Amino acid sequence: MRVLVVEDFQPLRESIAQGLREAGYAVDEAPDGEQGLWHAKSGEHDVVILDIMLPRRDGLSVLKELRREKSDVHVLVLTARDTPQDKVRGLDMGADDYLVKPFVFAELLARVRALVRRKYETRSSVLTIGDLEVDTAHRAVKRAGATIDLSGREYALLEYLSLNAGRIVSRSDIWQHVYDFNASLESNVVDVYIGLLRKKIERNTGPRLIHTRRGQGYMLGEMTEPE
Amino acid sequence: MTRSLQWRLLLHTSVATTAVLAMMGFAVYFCVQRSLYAEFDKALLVRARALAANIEQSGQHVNMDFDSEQMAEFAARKRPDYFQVWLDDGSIVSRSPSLGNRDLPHIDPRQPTFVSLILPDRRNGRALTITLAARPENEDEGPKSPFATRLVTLAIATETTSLDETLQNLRWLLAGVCGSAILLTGAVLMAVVRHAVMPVQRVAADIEALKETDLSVRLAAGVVPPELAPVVEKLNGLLARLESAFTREKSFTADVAHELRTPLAGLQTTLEVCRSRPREPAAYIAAIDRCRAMIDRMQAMIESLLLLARTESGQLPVENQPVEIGPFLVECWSPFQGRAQARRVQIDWPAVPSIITRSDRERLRLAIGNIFDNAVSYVDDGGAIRVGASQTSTAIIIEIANTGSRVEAGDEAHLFERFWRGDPSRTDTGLHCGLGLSLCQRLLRLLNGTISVEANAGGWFIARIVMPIDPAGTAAPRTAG
Repeated sequence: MRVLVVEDFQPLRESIAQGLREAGYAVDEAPDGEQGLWHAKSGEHDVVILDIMLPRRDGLSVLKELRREKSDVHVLVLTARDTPQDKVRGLDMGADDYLVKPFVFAELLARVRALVRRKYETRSSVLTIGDLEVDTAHRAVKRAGATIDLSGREYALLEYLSLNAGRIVSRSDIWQHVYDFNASLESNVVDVYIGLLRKKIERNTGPRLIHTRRGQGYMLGEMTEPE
Repeated sequence: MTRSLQWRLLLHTSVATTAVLAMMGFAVYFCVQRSLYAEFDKALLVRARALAANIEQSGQHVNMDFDSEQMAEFAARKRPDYFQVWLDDGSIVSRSPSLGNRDLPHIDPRQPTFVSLILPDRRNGRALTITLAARPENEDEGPKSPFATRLVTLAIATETTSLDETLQNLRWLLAGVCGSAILLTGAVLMAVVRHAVMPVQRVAADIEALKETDLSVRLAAGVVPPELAPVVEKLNGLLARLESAFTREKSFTADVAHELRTPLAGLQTTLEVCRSRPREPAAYIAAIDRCRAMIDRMQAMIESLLLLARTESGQLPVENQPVEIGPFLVECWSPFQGRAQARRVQIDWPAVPSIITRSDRERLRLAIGNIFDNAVSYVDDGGAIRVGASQTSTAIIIEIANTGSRVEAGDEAHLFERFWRGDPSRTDTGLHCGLGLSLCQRLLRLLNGTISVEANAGGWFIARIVMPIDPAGTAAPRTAG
């Protein structure tokens, strides 16, 4: 999942980004409203964490502009303004959630998870595909009741596939939503991680869950037809 | 109650009215009493003279013919009148039958003398005593009489009961009239006073209805009497000042809360993220350093806030010391030299003419230091800072400018608002929270100076301080207001 953090106070922005990365998110950072808007307009983010009092362009105007351009990105407003009027204004302008500084980081993570679920229209934090269970709240994966240990990247990839279970996701979709832009798309990182993930969740006798669609991408789901 | 305006007014006017009415009553009484007595005495004198006509001298002897039928009142059993006649040797010539063996007071007056007295029968009375020459028995002998004319003293006394009764009635009448006049006046005064203090009560009620939660209410100035208008005017002015102070305070508090919450959120998140998993020692050190930097920022902001608050409340006394501008600017610059060198900033420092003035060195150092700090923080790497000072007939102008201005021209006014931040680089230094220029402005106002900025003059950000020239130090520095 890809998250954009727009916050002008550098130490806070960096800490949020680090925490999100460690939770398996791909994170982009923007120090002001203009850059934030530029990033958000790319449409690659699942969640935008947006401060209100920003230099150059304030958060509410970024939000307004995004909604004017029909962007459906999920926006969490993160601000020190705590009056009910501020909250009402933020939510009415199209924010999906509102969190007041200072905050507990675990709550921010939980709210980001909830926004991700909402985006992929899943109510439960536990995703079930056949006998595979992905617990997004605890980042735990089980297959046929047996716990599977995954690295952060592997988990992020599996979670993205699970949220899009039954749908074909392209390599660039995966790239954009799961990885930071620190390697080029031409490399076969996605294929490598798909291979690693397959080994871990398909090593037993159960049916295959990750299917390759040549020229299109990958799909997670129960398939009876042979490849 | 006794302190209430209404009651005091009522009490004072009532006492005054009572005193005036009582004085008038007494005056009327004494006038009437005097004229009644004068009438009475006149009648008494006439009777005395009539009596005296009966006193005759024959030879050495003086006697009095008393006709008890003609003068029955002196012989009456009930409520009689009295007279008594003495010779000049003190022997009694005659006395009225009503006296019996008793005497009237015997005095020897040179002129007719009236006294009030208690009559022998215990009634209140009035006596007239006159001295006169006895009439010779034979008028014709008169001047030829071989005997010297004898002097006799005649005292006549009669009751004053009816006079006393009249006076008593008068006293009662006056007391009644004055008393009811006082009561009536009191009642009228009460109504009048109540009516007169009504505007005061209305204003008081309006003031009482004021709430600290809603300071936008103003008292109606048009309907109060002119005596109260200044009070209402002043009060409205006070309310307006209070309201704007409260509004400022409210937005200031919100700003402070915001400015403190952001680094607090940074601290909390950094610590929580750091604690969420085991890390290499270097990662802990990095997190701790970041927290330290955030704490420094919060501390610097709190210090600035405190200074600002003290400046505004006038808690800081203003000194008046000689300041030589050239060396003073160098002194203020020295703490920033290291940072300027690190950023490869070129310092353009033309010769400053010798200018000496009087001001508060510490305040001025703080203000100029703040501007230098801004210049060093916001100048672009490898840019330039220019410092200059000049003098006009009335003022000293100090200009501090830096290249690389990222403030939009037209944003100048915002620069002096507390917590306004127009510059994204603010967060890069982590120490500027938008209080500097606001603080400068207040410090300079304290020193009778002003500060203005040109936000973007061809890429230059120029801060200009204007100080009044005061070589003699005559103008007293203003206290904070």
